[in-house]
Amino acid sequence: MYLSREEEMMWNGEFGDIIERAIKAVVRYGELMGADRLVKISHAHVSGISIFNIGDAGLSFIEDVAEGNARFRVYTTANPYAAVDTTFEGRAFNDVIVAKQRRIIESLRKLGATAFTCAPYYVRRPGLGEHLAWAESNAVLYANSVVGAMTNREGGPIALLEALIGRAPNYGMHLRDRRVPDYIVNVPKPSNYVEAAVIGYLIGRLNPTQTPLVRGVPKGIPEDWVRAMLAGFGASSHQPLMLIDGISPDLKHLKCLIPESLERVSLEERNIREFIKDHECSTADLLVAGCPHLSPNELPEIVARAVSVIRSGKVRARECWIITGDFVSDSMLKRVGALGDSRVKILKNVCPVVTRLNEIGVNSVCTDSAKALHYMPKLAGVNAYLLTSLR
Amino acid sequence: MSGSNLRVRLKPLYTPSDTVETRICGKLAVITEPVSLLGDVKAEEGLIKGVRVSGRVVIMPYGVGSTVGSYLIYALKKYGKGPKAIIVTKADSVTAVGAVISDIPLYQVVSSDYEKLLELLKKFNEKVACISGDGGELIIMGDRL
Repeated sequence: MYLSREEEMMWNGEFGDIIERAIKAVVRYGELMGADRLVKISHAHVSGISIFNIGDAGLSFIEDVAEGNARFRVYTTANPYAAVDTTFEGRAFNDVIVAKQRRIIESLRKLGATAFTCAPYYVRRPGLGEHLAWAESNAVLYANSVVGAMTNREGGPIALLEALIGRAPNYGMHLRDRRVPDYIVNVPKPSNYVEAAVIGYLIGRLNPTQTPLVRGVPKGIPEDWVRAMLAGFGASSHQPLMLIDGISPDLKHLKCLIPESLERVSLEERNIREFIKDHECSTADLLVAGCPHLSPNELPEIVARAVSVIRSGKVRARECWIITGDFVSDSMLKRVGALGDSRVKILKNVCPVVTRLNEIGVNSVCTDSAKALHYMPKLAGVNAYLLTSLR
Repeated sequence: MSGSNLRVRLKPLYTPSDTVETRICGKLAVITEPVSLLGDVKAEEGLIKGVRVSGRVVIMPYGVGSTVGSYLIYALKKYGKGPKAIIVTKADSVTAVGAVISDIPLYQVVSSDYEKLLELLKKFNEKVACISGDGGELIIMGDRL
């Protein structure tokens, strides 16, 4: 692989042992992926920071990296952490887990992580054509598909090392000619957030290893519905890019290059309705909204609806957790908090999906997110259902 | 050794700088199914899918699932239970990142019928095998060197 002078200095240990190890790992990984060189990135986003997911192994890796003087070389954000400080009907997580989760957060802060959210594009919105090293599938999909920035779907540990050297291997999504569709999928017009989420999820299930060109998403669809669709797609597919007609910037210069011979498939309205019906929620221990983290736009309405759903008993639930990030100001939280009910909690910078909720007595969850529906049984240890009445 | 040793062609994917040009020998640990590293690895016991891997030359199809899985390879090494080398039939990013951050040499099998090869190698589990210094060959020696 070609290395610049500065990169060679990193390789030769002139920036210290950690940086040398980081660049060697990134270069070797890049060579495996067929990269010819490294590309400078402006923003790294690290995933894999929940103690329940990464365990002692991940904790010691991150602490080993943070121990020395090395710091992130570029602007870096991280995924939300496990909600270990939150209680469910008064039940708390054990102190050992809480302490270990805090050590992970501290190490990442020491390295220079500025925020903990799965919506880093609300903390720092990248520009068109900007190179990034983001892990976290919904954020990667948003960056590539909505913003037109360029990032592969990085894994947790490698994104951390790329943040340390400010570079990522130049392959895949960093190359314009790889950002093309493999097939066309026609979708029905979603009539709410949950339908949009399910459409994305079902597209991924159709074909998890190819890039779709999605047609049928109406102009002017709320951005939060697009985020729901991308998050759903990211859960059922391995792809870093979904090209959406009318939305994705890449399509502007691709239009004439898309061959008419591409394979075409369709999702039907009944596919969406059946999926929702099959997973419909009636009662649960906990309601969860905010996967991905709620935007400042949607937060007030979701809080109001959650309070009304819980009070009316329309869906029988004991608590409702509404999740967002630090990009929502405290004054706004206070304002919407005033609508609140002690059973409705607004949480910041955490992710219940990567939290072993069964350890605090939660056995079932209803959520408006197709992504949370997909991951919560395995990662949170709960039964999960789809909640339509918040949207 | 006699010329009748079983030989498998390899392609080096990752060689830590201190193992370049060094022959790597150890007992063979054969895993025939794809490995979901997050879930299939018991780091403290040095097991992958129940197969003892510590100090061994592991041969497996490839890794699947969460990218957090890379940390489990790091954990094996951290607990002193790491394999001497990993040979995969197909390169995947989770195993690759795991090997690279843990300084474990990684190779890929060059063969047209991986499943058949792994089935055949199953009989040689726990037999001594060596990876040649140039990383181009796995030579299965038998019970001892």
